[in-house]
Amino acid sequence: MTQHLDDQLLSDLLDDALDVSERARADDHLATCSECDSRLRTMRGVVTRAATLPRSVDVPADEWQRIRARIGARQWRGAGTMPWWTRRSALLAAALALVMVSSGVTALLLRPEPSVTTQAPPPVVKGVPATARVAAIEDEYAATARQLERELAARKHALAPETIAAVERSLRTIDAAIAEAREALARDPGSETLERLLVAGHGQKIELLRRAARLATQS
Amino acid sequence: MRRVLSALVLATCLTSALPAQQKVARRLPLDPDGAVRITMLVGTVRVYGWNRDSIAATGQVGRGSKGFYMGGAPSGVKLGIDIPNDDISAVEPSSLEVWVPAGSRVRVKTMPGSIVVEGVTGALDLASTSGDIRVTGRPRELTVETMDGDVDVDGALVWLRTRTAGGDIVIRGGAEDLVAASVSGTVTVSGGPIHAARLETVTGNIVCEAAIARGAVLDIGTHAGTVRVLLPKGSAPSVEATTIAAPIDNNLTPQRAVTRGDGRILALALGDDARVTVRSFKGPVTLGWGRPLKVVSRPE
Repeated sequence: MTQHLDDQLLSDLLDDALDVSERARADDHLATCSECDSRLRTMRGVVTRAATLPRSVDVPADEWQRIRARIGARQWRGAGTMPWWTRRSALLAAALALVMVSSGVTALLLRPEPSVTTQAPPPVVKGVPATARVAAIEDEYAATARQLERELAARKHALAPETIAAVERSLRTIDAAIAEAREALARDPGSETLERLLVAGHGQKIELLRRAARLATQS
Repeated sequence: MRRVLSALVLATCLTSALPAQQKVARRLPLDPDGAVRITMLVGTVRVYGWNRDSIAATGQVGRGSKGFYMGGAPSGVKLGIDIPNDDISAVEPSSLEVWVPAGSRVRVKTMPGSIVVEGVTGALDLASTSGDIRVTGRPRELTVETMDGDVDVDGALVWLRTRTAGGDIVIRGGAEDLVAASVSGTVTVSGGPIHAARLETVTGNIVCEAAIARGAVLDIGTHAGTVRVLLPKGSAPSVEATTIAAPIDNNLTPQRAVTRGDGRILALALGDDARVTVRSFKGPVTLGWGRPLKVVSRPE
């Protein structure tokens, strides 16, 4: 059988949402197609791992001490939890997570979005210059974006011309914002705000591409 | 006259080339928390939660579509309307109304079709390219993705993720864990209470005038959209707003933003009710007091 099972069908198979005949066809195909069987195993692994993730994780005590020390001057006496994205170190954590996730576009398309209150483990960033850190983050985002762009290009025919135009228009908007933030960051490399805005721009681009590729897959 | 006749003949040929409209009316048993997958590439889907262990679908298949399908087991049902060769330009819009057990997990996908969901308390995953998406009720989890369609959510939610490219997002009601993002659409959040939220755009405006829970974290970021945050009168959050090339208009206190490097920063320690952070490259930021809404406690 040359026609591989698409992501949607595999997803429905995992969710036990196929009728008897579809299920039988899928099982027949999986029995003879190692590629689809491997993709199904990958997807099952993602779902299983996602199910074991906690909805929220307490901040490590030493991390809180570090944060309190940094913002002590502002006399912040906040509540016991803070979202992970509010820490600068989370920028690198996000990039690292992206590297791990971007090893497979399917996994990226399927990945569950983390809880707002989920704490990412703080990565070690000591001794890494800001410019090098940002460059590394940008490289990883760019690599992931290229993967998703290839994925989208392969499925583009499934989208209406107006939708493709909307995606391209939004990508131009995001790219312009990224370029502007990057230029400003080059002038002011120590700006945490610019660093966050630049990473946010890349994040928006990845999300847009992921969404477009997912919608194209659905047809 | 000849032209009129030719047009009539042509219209007749075109109409007859498309399969006729079909009516849909099917019903199957479905577990109270069963999975439902609805795929309708062109047309409108309405989903209603009901208090029965079955799923029922009615509607009309648009001309040119292959037809309606529905099947599965009590643990999961898949239904939708297929179109030939995935060519959405060759068919007329269809319409479906689907009743599902209120606690079921529902995934709906359309291309240019709109989606309306009411009264479903299970997890919802809704996606459309350009259709509007409207949700009313208290779904346990809600994921809404559309490119150019608008999103309108009205209800108390635990977990909400919504993203658009150009479509506007309006969220009324509370959310414990909320991410709303758009490239150029406006993001508006009202009602509340909000426990943890991230609102972000590239050029779209952001308006937040929701009640915030005690201990809430609100993170707002934009490149060029205007940001307007109205905090509940009587609340005492910590606020930090930073811009690179835009003014910060503070109406919360007499304090003014200060210049730092290329940008401006405003840090207010009004109390420890909540934490509000705003980042903007060149979109102006306005902070002010809204209606005197009650600040509620964060649930354990």
